[in-house]
Amino acid sequence: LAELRTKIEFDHLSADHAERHVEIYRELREQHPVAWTDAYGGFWVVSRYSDVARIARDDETFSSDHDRGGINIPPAPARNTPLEVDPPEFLHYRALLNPPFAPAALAGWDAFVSDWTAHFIDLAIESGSIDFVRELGNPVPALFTLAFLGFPLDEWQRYAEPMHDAVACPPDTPGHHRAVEGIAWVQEQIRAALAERRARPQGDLLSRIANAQLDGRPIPEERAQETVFLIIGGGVDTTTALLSNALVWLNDQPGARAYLRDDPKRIATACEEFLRVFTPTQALARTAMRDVEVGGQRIREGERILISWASANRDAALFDRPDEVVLDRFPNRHAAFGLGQHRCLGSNFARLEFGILLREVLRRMPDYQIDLSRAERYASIGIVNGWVSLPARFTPGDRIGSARRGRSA
Amino acid sequence: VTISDAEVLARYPGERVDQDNVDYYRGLLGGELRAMRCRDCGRWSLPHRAYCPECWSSEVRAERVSGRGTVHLLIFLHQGAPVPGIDYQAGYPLATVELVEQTGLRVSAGLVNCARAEMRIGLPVELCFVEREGAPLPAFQPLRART
Repeated sequence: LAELRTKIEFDHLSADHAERHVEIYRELREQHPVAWTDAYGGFWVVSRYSDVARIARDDETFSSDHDRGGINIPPAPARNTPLEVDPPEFLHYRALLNPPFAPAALAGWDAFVSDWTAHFIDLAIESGSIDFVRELGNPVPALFTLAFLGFPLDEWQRYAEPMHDAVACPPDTPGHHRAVEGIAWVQEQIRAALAERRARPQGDLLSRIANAQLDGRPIPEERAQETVFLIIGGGVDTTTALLSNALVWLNDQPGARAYLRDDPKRIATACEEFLRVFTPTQALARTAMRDVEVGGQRIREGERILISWASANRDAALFDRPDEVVLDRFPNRHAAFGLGQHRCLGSNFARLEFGILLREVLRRMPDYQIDLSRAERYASIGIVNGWVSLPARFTPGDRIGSARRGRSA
Repeated sequence: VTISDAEVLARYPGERVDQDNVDYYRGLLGGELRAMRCRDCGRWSLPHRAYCPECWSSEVRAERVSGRGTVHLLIFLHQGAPVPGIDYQAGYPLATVELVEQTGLRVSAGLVNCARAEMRIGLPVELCFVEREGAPLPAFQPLRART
C-alpha cells in the first residue's frame, strides 16, 4: 500500500465544528473518509458508515481500553467503566448489567416517568413559560436514572446539575468549576451508597453493582464506582440532548407537530429519526492494536481513531435524503447508540423517556415557541450535541397533578 | 529526476508522510531542506501545512531554504525512543535553528560535527545530512568559512 496519509484540519471540540459539523462530515465522507489530523496529539477521523461499523465491531483490532487512550479524545481522566474495558473482561460487565437494562425491565418505569413529566410540566403550565432544558429535559431523565440505581431523590438537583454543566460549560468558566465541585460530591455519594449496599444489600441496581462477581471475583471498588458514575452520566444528559434537538426542530414545523400529536404512536418511529439526525453522542474513539488498513489508509499500531456516529448517520450510502428529517423513516439502521459490543446500555430507557416527554409537551403545550434568540447551544458538541437552555413560551394551561407527588404545590 | 510518492513512502516508513509534507521528504532525498512558502504574501512557514498561517492563503508550496541560521534553542536529550546512531547517555544535542530566510522560521534537528565546548545558543550553523535507518535526515553543523 503506497498511499500518502490524508491530512486534514479537524478539531471536534472547536467552535467551528459545533457550527459546521454537518457540512464538515459531509465533505469528509465524500472526499476523505479516513483522514489524519494533528489535533490532540494526532488521530484518524473515520466518517463513512461502513468503516465506522467495521471498527466498532472489531474490538480485537480497535481497542477501547482506558490505558491505551480510551474512548475520548483527549482522553478522560478516569476510566469510563465498562465502555473503556475490552472483551473478554468487558463481557462480564455486560452480563452483570444487561438484565436490569433489558426491554422486559422497562415495564415498571413507564408510570414513574409519566408522573415526573406531569409534575415538571405542572410547575410551568400556568405561567406560560418554561426552559425545556433546565425545567424538563434535564430533571426527568436525572430523576429516573437516580431512582433506577436506587439513590434517594430528595437531592436530585445536586446530581443532575453538575452532569449537565460539565458538558454544557467550557473549561475555565465558573459553571465548569461549579460542575467539578459538584461531581466530587456525586462521587462521594456513590462511594457511600456502594459501601452501604455492600453492608446491607437491597433489591436495587446499586446493590447489584456493589456485590457483583466478575468472573468469580468481587468487582474492584474503583470499577464499581466508575460503573455507577457512567450510568449517571449516560442517563442524565444524552436524553436531554435528544429531546432538546427534537423540540428545536419541531419549533417551526407545525405540520410535523400535528402529525405526532394526532397519533402519539408515531413518536416511536420519529424518535429513531431524531436519534439519527441529531446523534446526541456524536463520536467516540478507539486505538489501533496493530497496523491495519481502513478506507485505503494505513493506520499504525497505537494510533488513535475517532469514529463518528453522527457522520455515519448521514451517509448517503445507507440513508436516502440523509439530511432530511423523515418522521416515518423505516427501516432506520442508525448508529446513534453505537454499534458492536459496546452499544448503548440504556437505549431502551432513552426511548421510553423521550417518547413520554415529547408526547406530553405536544399534548399540553402544543403551541410552544422557543425563543431562539435566547436559546443557547453547547459551545462544544464534541461530547454531547445538546443545548444549555431553551426558553419557550406557550398558552398557559391547567395543572393535572401527578399520582406520586399529589397535586404539585 | 523526480522522486515518486511511493519512493518517499518506502524510504521513510516510520514517518507520517502526508500530502502536505511529502515535498519536504522528497526534498531531503534530493539533498534539500524545504519550508512552506506562500505565493500570495511571500512568507515562509513551518510545519508543513496546506495554508499560510500569516494570510490564510492556500497558495503555499515547499521551497528550498539555504539551511543557514543560528542556534535559537539547544537541549541535550538523555532519553527517547531508541534510534541507531543516537547516544542518549552522552546527551544527544538537539538544536532549534532560526533560519536566515525569516525571523521566527525555525527547524529542530541534531547538532553534529561540533565539539561540546563549541555548542552554544547563537552559534551560526549550516545544514548537513545524517543517515537514519537508510534515509537522509537534516542536521546542522557549525558554519565554516568556505574556501
